[in-house]
Order: sequence, then structure tokens, then C-alpha cells
Amino acid sequence: MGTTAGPSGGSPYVAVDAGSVFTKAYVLDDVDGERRLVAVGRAPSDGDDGHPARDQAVARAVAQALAIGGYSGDARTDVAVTLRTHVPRVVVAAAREDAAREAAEQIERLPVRVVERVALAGGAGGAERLLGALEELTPDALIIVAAADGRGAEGKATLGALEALRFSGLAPFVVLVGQIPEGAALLDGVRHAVAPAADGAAVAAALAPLVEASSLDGVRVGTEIVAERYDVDVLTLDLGASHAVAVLASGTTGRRRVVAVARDDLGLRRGRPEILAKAGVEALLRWLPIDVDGEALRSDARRGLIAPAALPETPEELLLEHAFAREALRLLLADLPKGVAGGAAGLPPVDLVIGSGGPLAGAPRLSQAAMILLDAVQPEALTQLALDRATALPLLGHLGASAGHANVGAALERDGLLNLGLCIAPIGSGREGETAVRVEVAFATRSPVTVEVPFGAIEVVPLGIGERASLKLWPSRDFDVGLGRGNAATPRAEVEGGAVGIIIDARGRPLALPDAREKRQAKLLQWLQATRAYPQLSFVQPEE
Amino acid sequence: MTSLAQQLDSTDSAALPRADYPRRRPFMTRGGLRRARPIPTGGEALVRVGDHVESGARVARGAREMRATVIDLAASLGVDGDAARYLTRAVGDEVAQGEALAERRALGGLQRRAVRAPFSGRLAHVSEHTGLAYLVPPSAEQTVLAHLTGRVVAVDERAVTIEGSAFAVTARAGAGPAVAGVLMVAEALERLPRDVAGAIVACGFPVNEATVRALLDGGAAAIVAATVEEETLERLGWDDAFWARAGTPPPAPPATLLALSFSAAPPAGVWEALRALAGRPASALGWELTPDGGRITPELLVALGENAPSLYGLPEGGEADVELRPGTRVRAIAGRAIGLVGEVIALSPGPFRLRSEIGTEVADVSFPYGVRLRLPVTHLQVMP
Repeated sequence: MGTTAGPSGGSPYVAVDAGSVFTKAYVLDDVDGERRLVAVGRAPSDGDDGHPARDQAVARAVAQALAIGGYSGDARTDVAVTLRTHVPRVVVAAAREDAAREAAEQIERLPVRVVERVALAGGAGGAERLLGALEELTPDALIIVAAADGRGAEGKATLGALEALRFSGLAPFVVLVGQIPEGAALLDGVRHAVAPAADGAAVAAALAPLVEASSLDGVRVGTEIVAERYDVDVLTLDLGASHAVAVLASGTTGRRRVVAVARDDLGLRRGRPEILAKAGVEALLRWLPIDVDGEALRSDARRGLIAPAALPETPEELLLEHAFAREALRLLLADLPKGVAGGAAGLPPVDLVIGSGGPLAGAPRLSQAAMILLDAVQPEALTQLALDRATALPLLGHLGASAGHANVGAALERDGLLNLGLCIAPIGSGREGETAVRVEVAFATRSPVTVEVPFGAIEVVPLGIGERASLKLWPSRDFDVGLGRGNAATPRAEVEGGAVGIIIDARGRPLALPDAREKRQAKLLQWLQATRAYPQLSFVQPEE
Repeated sequence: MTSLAQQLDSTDSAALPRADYPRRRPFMTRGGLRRARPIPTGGEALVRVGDHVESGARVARGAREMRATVIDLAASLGVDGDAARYLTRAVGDEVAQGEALAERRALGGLQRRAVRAPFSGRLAHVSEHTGLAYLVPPSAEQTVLAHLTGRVVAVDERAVTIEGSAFAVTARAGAGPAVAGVLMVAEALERLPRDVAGAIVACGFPVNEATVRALLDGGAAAIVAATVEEETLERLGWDDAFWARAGTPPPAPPATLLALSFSAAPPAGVWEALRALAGRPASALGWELTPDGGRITPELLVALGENAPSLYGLPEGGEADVELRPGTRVRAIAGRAIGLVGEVIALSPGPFRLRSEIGTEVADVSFPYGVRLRLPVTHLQVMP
């Protein structure tokens, strides 16, 4: 063990999140009697030759974090935990198609990716389908939902699947859910069995070796911690360089439901070709206030593969990256289990949206991260926005999972999460230019401000971190801020300020962009200027 | 104490992480090299410590078990469940394609139903519960080539390690297994070398579909593209071969492919070196995995041995890690200067705000014709 002395004389807790493109190191230490996150280090996971250099990346990130935190000594400090960003790919098999579908829907609540559902019934056909799927997809795990009756036709199908596994040529991690049919002696190679129900908790326990010390599972638990601490519905969107995860924690204490969706093909660097293929050129272009052709988009997508640690050098490249981010998150949200549908983007209303992952955390202006979240999620009525600025949510979740939620103190949570501000988004549609909502902001320490925001516009009222204000909202008769159309609302509690402020998004729900390119670009520019989200674009001449 | 999240909201903050690669190695090198060739799981080494091996020599082998094909014996024979008693071959037997696996006579012998093997293989199992039979094709042999000409210095259950003297150039992307052959160079599409069968053909011009077709038709073992046109990548499906989708192995190309760059022109110096080495034994490795699932760097190795050419002053350095510092020659691998080769003039002491306002470490780089650019260090690769 290396000797490391901190500014406070203590020895720090060092954790590493080994992503496929970036490796992050975190230093936690006791500061004034509280455990705090004091520094973050980061290094590309590959060398300059484009090929993995994982050990060196960990050493570099740890050394950097220790140096930033002001720690002396060598960099051979023990790493307490290494989180890995890996989306386990799972095949779900059941005797019947509907049973496989039901099981898949339950399993999809975890940060795993169900890559195939296999119906086992049908004699040789079922076993052949299973072997074919395993051969083609080489999943990390196979989950077999056993039939209730081990002796009937469905039991036979399950048994056939278990027998077939012996001749798959592969040894995937197997989770058996439900009753084990007769012939249990055939379970050679089955490493884990869970009985009796195919519920999420049982599968979660069985999949633990796959998701243990997983940064994605950390995001899931971290979201749950925040939801429980404040008793709010939380949606976290974690967009990495080669993964994307959405976690929704809703309901009340003791009855909270947590669902997740994870994709290993929608990352903002390595997943760009897939984002482009799935969303389409037009969907990406609609977020750009500049002219870009389809070929340039394809080149950009490929460059994400060639040099994933590269950075946008110009505002135009940054806009392109953020267009990919919006579409990646929209594709991800479309994958959330069907049972949670509702709202403009197909989501139920949430109280808090958290943005996480390098591309959002590294946005040069916080209003960029806020706009990406707003465009992807399209939250309705009143929604708080937060950003995992230190990319520490996976670590906080891991600490909560391993040492108890209470172990992640409020100070530690604030070290990672930055409050961006409140978004007020009236639901409805109106005429361009006509007032959609009037908002009065009564500050604690200065004169109140009243803002009228027309339909089709977005405005920001500054309310900094640490400031408080009370609000009064008067939506026009066609708009609803949560209490019905045209009904005024006065939130009972004061609102807390954030790094961006109060965002009044009257662009309509669902958000509609003009079809005509020039009109659309003008509209986007108007929004970006209103939120001061980007530096001046090269084709916009500065005023004399 | 201000929260770390708040501290990170400034490009000038000392809390901002630095951004540089954890390892820098010259894009090409010459001298003493060392390569660990992975032994497949359950496989064996075919060489011993002290053996001299050529790049194309087999140094290890393994067998990849193939998946079974499922045959519904019970349904085919028209019986319920226990089909094992109608077997004409025993479980464990090797059977030839078309050979009867099971036979049932009914109606006093007037009706005869036979189930035949759809391919040659081993009758691995017949289930007494389901009446399904599992026919497994012969295992596929996996061979591991030496890749580096030299002497075997270590053998254990995981790898055969070889040391030798070679010229190495790292590819930005690769596909296909290691293949050995004579290095041939093609100056232009109109002047492709004749008789490329089994050769590793390096192309000093932007490779397009016509080149690839001609080389594949000629039986080239590998194509080393100094640079590849973007349209070619898309049309030939090389995107999928170079950058396989998550969790899926890439499709095996008809020849091993290496792309040294994706810029308009090949990196300076590499072409001159390859031309000087034409005719020597070489090995191209596109896409191989280590036993723990890591990816082996795609590269071209050319044996040097004695009487190696000068390689236009390429210093003998082996593969020691190098640092980025003033005076280091670099090539841009991303961003506005992609493909250009220049020299680092200065490095920023801390994060610098790019035009995009992203804060990152940068280097001032001098390019030919007096061009000076300030570029993120993560856009630069070290050149010898």
C-alpha cells in the first residue's frame, strides 16, 4: 500500500470507475467531520494508439485525483472499489412467448439489456432457437423462466432448454427463475437458481455477480437514494461514451418502484453510428441551427469510433455532439418499460430530472446540459433539474448499495450533484407570440420580477445557488401548470436557486419544431440565445 | 467548503481533471519487440522456450466446440417421448452425413421411418424426457500464429511469448486474424503488384473498392491501407468489420485488413519505410482477443533480421512509452488538423478553453508551411 497523506492528515478513500472510453478516479475524505468528495481525476482508457491501456489509465486518473485533492505521497494508493461500465446482455427464455415477454419486461427494470426473447415450446424448434440465439448473440446471461408444471409440455420445453445448454458450445451465466422441473440433475453448469417467483428482486439477486460493482447499477441505486431522501419521483439519464442508462424511481416511501433501461449501443462516442441509424439524419438535423449535410453527420459518427476521446473544438462541433445527445436520450427513453408511459415524451411526470455521464457533466455551459435534458425529456409543469457534475452518481449509488443509503450523506450528495434549477413547462399549445404563462418570482432579498413568456419561447430568470424565492404562476386559458387549464398555481414551498436559474419553457408540449429548415434554425437560435447556451456561432456576426 | 460540483463549474478551476492519454507509444517503431500470443482456452502450445519461429509458424492451437443441431427424433419417428430405443447408432458415435441415426418400423414392418444425420458429426445426446437428439459437428481448430519472427522466450498455459527484431506500425483499425506473408507495396491503383496470392499488400494511396476487389481476386492474405476513403468504408461494410457492435464479434473479412489512418493522406514517413521493407516476411494482425477478452492492438510487423535497411532514419527504439513534450513529432488523429504531421512547440500548463469553451490540455503544434495550431493533446498521436 502506498503512503498518502491528505490535507487533513487522513488517508483518503479512492474509487475508480473504469469506463470503456474514460477512466475516472474519485477521492473521498473526511472534511470537518463529514465524508466529502474532494477530487476527481480522469484519463482516456486507451492509449494514443487507440488501444486499451486500462492499468495505466487507472494509475493516471488516481494520481491526477490525488494531486488535485492536494494529497502528497505516491500514487500507489489502494483503490477501494473499481466500478465497471458494462451493460449485461441477457437472453430470456420461457416455454411460452407471453411468459418470455412478461419476464423480459420485469428484467428490463434492471440496468441490463434484454437482447432476445426465446419461446421454448415447439420441440426441436424451441431448443434450436435457443442455441441459435446463444451462438449469434453470445449473451452474458441466459435467464430461463421455468414452467410452473415441470411435467407438462411446458415443463418439457424448459427441460429441453436446459439439456440444450450442454451443447451450446458456450457457457453463458445462467439464471433459472421459477420452479426447477424434474430432471434437475441436468443442471450441470447452472451457477445460480432462484425460486420461486420471477419478480425483479429475485432476478436482481441472481444477477448480482453480473452487476456487482457496476457503475450502471450505481446509477440505479443513486437514483433511488435521491428519490427516498426527498420523497420525490426521479428520472436519471446517464449518457456515457459507450452506454446510455435511464432510471425512473417513482412512488412513495415503502412503495417506490424503480425501473431502468440500459443500452450499450447508444453511447455518445462509440454509439454515434447507431444513434444516426436509429434516429435518422432528419431527427438529428432538427436540433442544429446550422447547415450540416447527412454525409457530415456520418463522418462525425465514424470519428466517434476512430478517436473516442476526441473533443469538439468549435461551437459547431459541440452543437453536433449535443444533437446526438438529444437523440440518444430520446431513443433511450422510448425503451423504458411500457408500463411507465405518459407525458409528452411518453413518461410519467417526475419531480426531478438528473443528467449524468461525461457528455452532460462536461458541457462547457450548464444551460447546455439543461437544454439537452429539456429537449429529450420534455418535462411538464414543474420539474427540478440537476446535473451529476462530478460524474459521481455511480459511486454514490455503490456506496449506498454496499454500506447503506444513509452512508451517502447530504454533503457528499451535494459534492456530486449540482442543482441546475427549476423548469416551469406549461402543458398545451397556443398561438406563436401569445402569452402562455405569467410568472411572478418573489425573491427573498430583492424586488419581485414578473415575466410573461409567449408560446414558442423559453426564458431564464436567474436564481442562483443558495437563493430562494416564492412563485406565482398564471397560465393562459389553454395552458396547464399542473392544476388544470388556465388555473393559477402558487407552489407552497419556496423554490431553491440553481446554477442555471428558473427556466420557463413555453415551447409547448409536445415540443414541436417548425418543418421549414430556415424557420426551424431561426427558432433554435432564438432559444439558444434566450438561454445563453452557446458561444456566438461563426455565422452570426457580432454587432458593430 | 464549496461542493466539488460547484468548483467544477469553472474552466480555470484547479479541480478540473487533466486530459491526456495514459500511454503514448510511437505510431511506428523498429528494434527489439516482444509479443505474447494467447493460447486458446483448453488449447496447447506447439513450441518450446528457445525455439526460433517465423511469423507464419503455428505456435499454439485449440479447438472451438461448435454448437449442436437439435433433431426431434420422437416427432420424426412418430413416437411419444422415448426415442432412444429406436437408435441405430449409439450416443457418442461419430456419424456421417446421411447415415441413419434412428429407425422405426410400424404396421408390421410395412412402414419404415428413418432419421438421417443432416451432416457429419457426433451424436452427443438423446433426451429420454423430450425425444430430442443433439448432433454436434466436429470442433473447429483454432491456430495461433507467431506473428513476430524471433525466439520463444516463455511458454505458460496462457501465452507463448516471442522476442524478435521487427518494424512495427500500429493501425487505427483492423479486422481479421493474424496472417503471414511477404510484404508487397502498391504505389497506385494502376500499378498493383502482380501475383499477390498470399502476400501482405500495403497500399500507399487512398484505398477504394476497385483496389480491394483486385487484391481480393488476386488472393492477397492482407490489405494494409495507408489510408481509406470514407465512402469505401461504408460501401464495403468495413465499418462493421472494424468497429463491431457491442457484444458481437465482427464479421470475418475475406482477407485481414489494416487501416493506418483515415485522413486524406497517409502519415508522413510510413510509406517510405514500407517501401524500403518490401519483399521481407511480414505479419498483419487485424482483430484478435486476449484470453481475458481484451483486444490485441492491430498492427503490421515486418521482420528485420540482419542487413535491415536504414528506414530513412527511423531510430531504433523498441516500444518504450514516450512522453509528449516540446520537440515531439505528432500526427493529428482527430479534429480540424486530422492527418497532419507536425512538431510540438509548447504544452499548456493547465486546461485551456477551446473555441467550443471546453477546457482541456492543449499543445501548440507547428505544421509544414509555417502553420501553427493549438490542439487538444487527445487529438495527437506520437510519431517517431
